[in-house]
Amino acid sequence: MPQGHSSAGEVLSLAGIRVLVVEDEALVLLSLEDMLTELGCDVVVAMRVDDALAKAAEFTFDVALLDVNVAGRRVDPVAALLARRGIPFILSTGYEDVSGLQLSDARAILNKPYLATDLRAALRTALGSTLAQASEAGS
Amino acid sequence: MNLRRGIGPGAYSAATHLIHFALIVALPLLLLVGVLLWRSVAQEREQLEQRVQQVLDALVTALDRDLDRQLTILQTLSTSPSLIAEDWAAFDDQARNSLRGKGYLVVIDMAGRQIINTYVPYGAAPATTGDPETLQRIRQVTRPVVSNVFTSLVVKAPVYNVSIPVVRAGEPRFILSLGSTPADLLALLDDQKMQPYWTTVIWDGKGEILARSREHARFVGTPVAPELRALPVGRLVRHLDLRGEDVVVAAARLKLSDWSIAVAYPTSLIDRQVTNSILFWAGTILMVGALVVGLAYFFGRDLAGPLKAATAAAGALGRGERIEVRDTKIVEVNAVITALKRAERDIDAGSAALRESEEHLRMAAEAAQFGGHEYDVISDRTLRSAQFLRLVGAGEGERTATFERGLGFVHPDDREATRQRKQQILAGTDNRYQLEYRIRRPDGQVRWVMDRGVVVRDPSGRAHRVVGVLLDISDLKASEQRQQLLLEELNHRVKNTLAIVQSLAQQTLRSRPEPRDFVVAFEARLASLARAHNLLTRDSWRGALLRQIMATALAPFIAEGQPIRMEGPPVMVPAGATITLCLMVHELATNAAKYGALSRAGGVLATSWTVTERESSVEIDLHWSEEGGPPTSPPQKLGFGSRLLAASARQLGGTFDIDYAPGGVRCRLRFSVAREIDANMGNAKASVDA
Repeated sequence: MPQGHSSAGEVLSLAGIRVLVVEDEALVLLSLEDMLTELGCDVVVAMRVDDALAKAAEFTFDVALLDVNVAGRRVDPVAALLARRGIPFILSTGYEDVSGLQLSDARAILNKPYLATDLRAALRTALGSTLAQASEAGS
Repeated sequence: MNLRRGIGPGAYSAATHLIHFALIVALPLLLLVGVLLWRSVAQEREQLEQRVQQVLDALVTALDRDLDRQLTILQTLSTSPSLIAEDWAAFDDQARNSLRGKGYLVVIDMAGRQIINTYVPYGAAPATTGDPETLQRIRQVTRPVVSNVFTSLVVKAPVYNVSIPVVRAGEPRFILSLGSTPADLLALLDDQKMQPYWTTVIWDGKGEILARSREHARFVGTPVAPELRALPVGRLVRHLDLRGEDVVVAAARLKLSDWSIAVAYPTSLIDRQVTNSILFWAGTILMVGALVVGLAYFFGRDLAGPLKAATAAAGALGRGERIEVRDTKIVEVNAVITALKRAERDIDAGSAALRESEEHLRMAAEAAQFGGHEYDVISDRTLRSAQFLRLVGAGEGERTATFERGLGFVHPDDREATRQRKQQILAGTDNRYQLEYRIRRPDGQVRWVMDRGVVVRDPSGRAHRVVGVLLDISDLKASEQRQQLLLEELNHRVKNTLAIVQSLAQQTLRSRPEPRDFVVAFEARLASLARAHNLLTRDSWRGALLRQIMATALAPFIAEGQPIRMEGPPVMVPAGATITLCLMVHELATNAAKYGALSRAGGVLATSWTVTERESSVEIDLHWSEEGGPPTSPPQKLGFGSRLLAASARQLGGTFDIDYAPGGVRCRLRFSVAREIDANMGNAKASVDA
C-alpha cells in the first residue's frame, strides 16, 4: 500500500531520478527495471547485500528500493548505510509484518506484489522535498 | 517423639504416684491409730485414777474397821468385872488372854499414872503415861480417841494408842489404851495387793508418818510432806514425794481418827505409757510408711516395665519400625500395645496404598513430565516434587522455597512479570490459573514452561494454598514458533510467487502483445513455474536434485519424444535456485523448440553437469548443447529470454555464458549451492532412483 499522499501528484516528473534497486528475484527485478526505466529513472540494481552495500557506498542515489530479504540475508545493513548517507529508501516485502525490523527509517513500504501506480506513489512519498526542489529548479 | 517431654513439673513416675496414693490411704489410718492410742492412754490414766480412789477407799474402810475392832476389844474389856472391881491383877491377866499378843493394853488413871501395861510383866509398868496427849483429850471430850504416833516408854519405839475412857458415876475414872506398833498397819496396806511401785502412806493428826508401804522403817515417825497434809480429799495431785520421786497422789481422811492416808504412783508410770504409745505410734508410722514405699516401689517397678514396653511400642510406631513388644502383666497396657499394633497394621496398609498411589502419581507425573508444586501462603513455603526439581534443574536440597526464592529459576527477563502475575493470582478471585514463562536452568539451558493449577481460598476468598504443576512446553513452543515461521514463510513465498507471476505476465506481454500469442507463452511459463513448485512440494521445499529439475523443466519436450540427454552426478539444489533453474531451462528449451535443435527432426539436446565439492559449498558446472538444428545466430536485440537468463544467473550468484554457434546453441551455467543441503542427498537420490 502506498504510504501517504504526495501533494506533488502526477505533475512532478520522476525523470532523471537515480534509483538503487536491491532485489534478488530475477523476474521481479526485470519488471522493476522496466517500470522505473519507463518512468525515466536511472536504475542501478543489486541482487546481493554485499553488492548493494558496495553500490550504495560508491554511488549517489536519490532513492533506493530495498527488498527486505535478499538471497537469505536481511537488508538492514544497506538500510543503515542509506540512512547514514541521508538517502531515502522504500521497502518491498512479501512479509506482512515488518515490525521489529531495524528499518524504521523507511519512507514507504510496498507489499509484494504491487502495481506500477503503487510504486510511483511510494517513490513520490519517499522523494518528497527532493522532487519539489527538482521541479522548482526545472521550471 | 521423645518420652522425656512427659517429664516436667507435675509429671512423676508411676512408682511415685503409687507412693502418693498409698500415703493418702495410709495417712487417715495412721491418724486414727494415733487417736486410738491417745484415747487408750487417757483411759489408762482414768482407770489408774479410779483404781487409786478404790484403793484409797478400801484402805480407809480397812483401817477404820481395824480401829473399830480395837475399840470393840476395849469396850469389851471395859465391861470386865475385874475392872469394875479394880482387881488389877485379874484384869491384867484377862487382858493378856484377850489380846493374845495383838498389841498391848495400858490402863491409866486420870492423873496419868500407869496401872497396868501388858507390854511388860504385871507390876513392871512405868509410873506415868507415855501418851499425855490422849489423857488430855479424853479429859476434855470423854470419848474414844486414837492417838498420834509417839515413842512408847516400854516399847522404846513409835507406837499409837486407841483409847477409851472408863466412866464411873458420870466422870472418867480410868483410860484403857490398846497400843500397837505402826508396823501392824503394814499388813493392812499389803492386803490391798497394790502394784509394787505404788506407795501408800498413813500419817497422824500431827503429820507424822505412821506407816508407809515402802521403806516403812526409814520414814515412820518422820513428818509427812506439808503439801500432802494440805491435800484436798478426793483430788489427784502431782508432787515430789519424800524420796524425790515425781508422783501422782490422792489422799483421804479416816472417820475414827484424825489420821490421813495417801496413795501415790509415779508419774513415770503414766509418762512411760504415753512414751510407749508415742513410740508405738511412731513405729507404726515408720513401718507402714516403709511398707507403703516399698510396696509402691515394687508395684511401680511392675508397672514401669509394661509402661516402658508400651512406650517402646509407640516409639517404634512413630519411627515406622516394627513393634516387637511382648504382652505384659497389665491388661490396660496390653490393650494399648494391641491398639498400637493394630494402628501399625493400619498404617502399613495405608502406607502401602499411599506408596502405590504415590507411585502411580509419580509415574503419571513422569509420563506427563510435569512437576508438582504446592504453596502454603500463610507459612510462605513452597513444596516441590522431585520431578519439579529435575525440570528446573534444582537439587534435592531445594525441595522447599519461599515465594521469592521460588521465582529464582524463572528466566530474569520473565521474572518480574511472573512475580506480578502470581501476586495478582493470589490477590484475585479466580480459582484456576495458567501461566507461561521461560526458566533458566543452572546449566544455562532456557526452557519454556506452562505453570497451571488451582488456588484454594478460605470462605472470605483469601488464598491460603496454591497447588499447581509445571510442564515443559519448550517443544510445543518451538513447534508453535516453527509453525508461525512456516506460515510467515508461506505467505512470503506466495507473495513472492505472485510477484514472479506478475513479472512473467508483464515480461510476456512485452514480447507477445498479441493476446493469442501471449496466452500460449504465458501459460507455458506458468506451467513451468507450477511444475517447479510441484517438484519442491514433494520434498517439503527443501530443494530438488538437479536431474529432477532438468527433467521437470524439460518435461513437455521429453513428453513430445524429443531426443534429450541428461548426464551428471546427483546433486541437491536448494528451493529458491530450483525455481530459477526451472525458468531458465524452460526459456532455453522454448528457444530450442522454436529456433534450435528441438525445432526439427534430427536435432539433439545434450545436457550435462559436473560437481566439484568445496569446503562449504558445491560448485555445479552445467552445460547445454544443441546439435543438428538449423543454423543459429545471436538475436538482434536483447529479448526477455536473454535478460532473464542473465538476471537468473546473477540471482544464483553464478555465471552464464551463451554461444550462438552456427552448429547449435551452447550454454554454460556455473553456480554454487550451500553444502549443507547435501545432508539430504542420499535420501533424495534414493527416492528418485527408486
